[in-house]
Amino acid sequence: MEIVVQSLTHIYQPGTIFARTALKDVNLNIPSGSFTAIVGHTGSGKSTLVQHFNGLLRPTEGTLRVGTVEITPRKSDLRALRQMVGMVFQYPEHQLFEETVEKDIAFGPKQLGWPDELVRQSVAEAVRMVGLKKEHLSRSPYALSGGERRRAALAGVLAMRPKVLILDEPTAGLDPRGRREILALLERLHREEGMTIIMVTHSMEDAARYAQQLVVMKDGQVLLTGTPQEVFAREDVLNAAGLALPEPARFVKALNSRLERPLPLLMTVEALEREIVARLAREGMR
Amino acid sequence: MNASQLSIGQYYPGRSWLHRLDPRSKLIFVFFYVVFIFFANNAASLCWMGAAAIGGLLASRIPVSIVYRGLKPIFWLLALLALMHIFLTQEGPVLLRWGWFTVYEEGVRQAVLVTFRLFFLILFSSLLTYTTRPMDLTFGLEKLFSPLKRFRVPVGELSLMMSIALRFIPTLLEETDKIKKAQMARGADFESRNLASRIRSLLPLLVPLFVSSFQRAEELAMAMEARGYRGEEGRTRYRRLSMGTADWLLLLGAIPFYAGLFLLRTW
Repeated sequence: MEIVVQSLTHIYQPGTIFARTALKDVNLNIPSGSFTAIVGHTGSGKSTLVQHFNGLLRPTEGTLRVGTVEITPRKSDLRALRQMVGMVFQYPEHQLFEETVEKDIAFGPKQLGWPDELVRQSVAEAVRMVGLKKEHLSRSPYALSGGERRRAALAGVLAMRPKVLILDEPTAGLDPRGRREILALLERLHREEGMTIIMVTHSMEDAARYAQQLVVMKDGQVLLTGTPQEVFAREDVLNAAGLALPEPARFVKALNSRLERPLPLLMTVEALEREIVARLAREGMR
Repeated sequence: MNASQLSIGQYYPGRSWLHRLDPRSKLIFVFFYVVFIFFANNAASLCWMGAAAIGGLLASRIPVSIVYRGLKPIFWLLALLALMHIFLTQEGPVLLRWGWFTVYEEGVRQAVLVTFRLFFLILFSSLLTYTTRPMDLTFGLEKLFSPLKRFRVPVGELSLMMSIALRFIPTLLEETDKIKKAQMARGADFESRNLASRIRSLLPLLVPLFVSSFQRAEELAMAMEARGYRGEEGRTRYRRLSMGTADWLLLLGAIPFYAGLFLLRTW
């Protein structure tokens, strides 16, 4: 489902001295089936922006269109939208509450009023997607490890069979292995299930590796959108947003100052590895 | 349960004369106000107390619209109370007879009196919390009650408990808001008109909230110990309170003010 944002402004607690403009005239287009990463410094409005995508927040001004649903400042029932657009919050394991993992994953589909058979099917599918084991299902969510708990929470959202999946810092607080597993899962959902994935992240490395489109935010405004190549070519803008190039690119830049023939600015370790190996093969080890 | 909604008496930052007073002088003044408002028993004494409340409101420079919004839920209670007094008091000459309802003069008098007493009481005491940071308030209370330490009342511990409770109200509200949103994203319905389903929908909110609160309490206790907290015995303070000229003037002014009340009331 395509998401179109038009001159979106969001103000928290308008009309009081606590009023704070979190988003200012944001325009954005997220194509159907894309993998988009939203990057920005803490407090740049990333989380506020994505909470509009499934109608949890309403614009103070402006409109959004998600698929065929319009979200305007006026009140309307957006529960149907929340099934289509799954939202995984930061530390989603904090939302687990049922006695068993299985019941918790089934919460969403049950709320949608789906028949038992469909609920069972969706739960099984979601469990398979996130790679939880059968024996996990009958345990209490609090008996799982951190990474497993996060996958259980993710399954709870996936069980609603969303077309769009929004994730706010999905790898925060996980160990390297947990990170890799979650990111590989997102990549698979995008590739195999054709889901539109929107990921809010601090990690430029993850953004460079997985995203097709990058959105750079600062102080509630969109500074830049484009493919990773386009965005990383504008280091000045990234610096202004308080962000840096991905680690491999920074490494190449440092290395280039000592090389006669500079290497191209590559964004992932794998691409850089291939480039260096190719060059060494051409010129021999010296 | 909406964190973005301002509630009655939530500290409203400012630099007015009322904001800068020592919490202790404010506490003492408000304490006597709360007690003595019930001695106001005619129009003159009620106006005398009301003038102080409205004067205080103006002096605090807090926008009236904010205070009005905070007081709104109270108006229903006041209206209910007034109606009960009108219909249940059976004294004095009859004013109105309608079906089996009879309204007596004393009932109307009581209704007006009680409503305005309560209204001024709530308004005035909310000014205290509007203009005083919660931490200053608990510290002021602790100082006022510190003589009780001699009788082994754990004043310091009690005030610490109060500070912690106050400190975590915004945190808990924020947490509630976050979990609520997460469950709404999973299809939970917190706005249902159906009471039963609304109560059921509280479970996904309360369970995670309880779990995180207990975790937070444990972490807080550990952090306090790590920073050397060993109970209130011998604890020193970074923040100090000082009574200025304005504070003494307020306390001195309280004597003629409340004397005026007793002159105006009918005996």
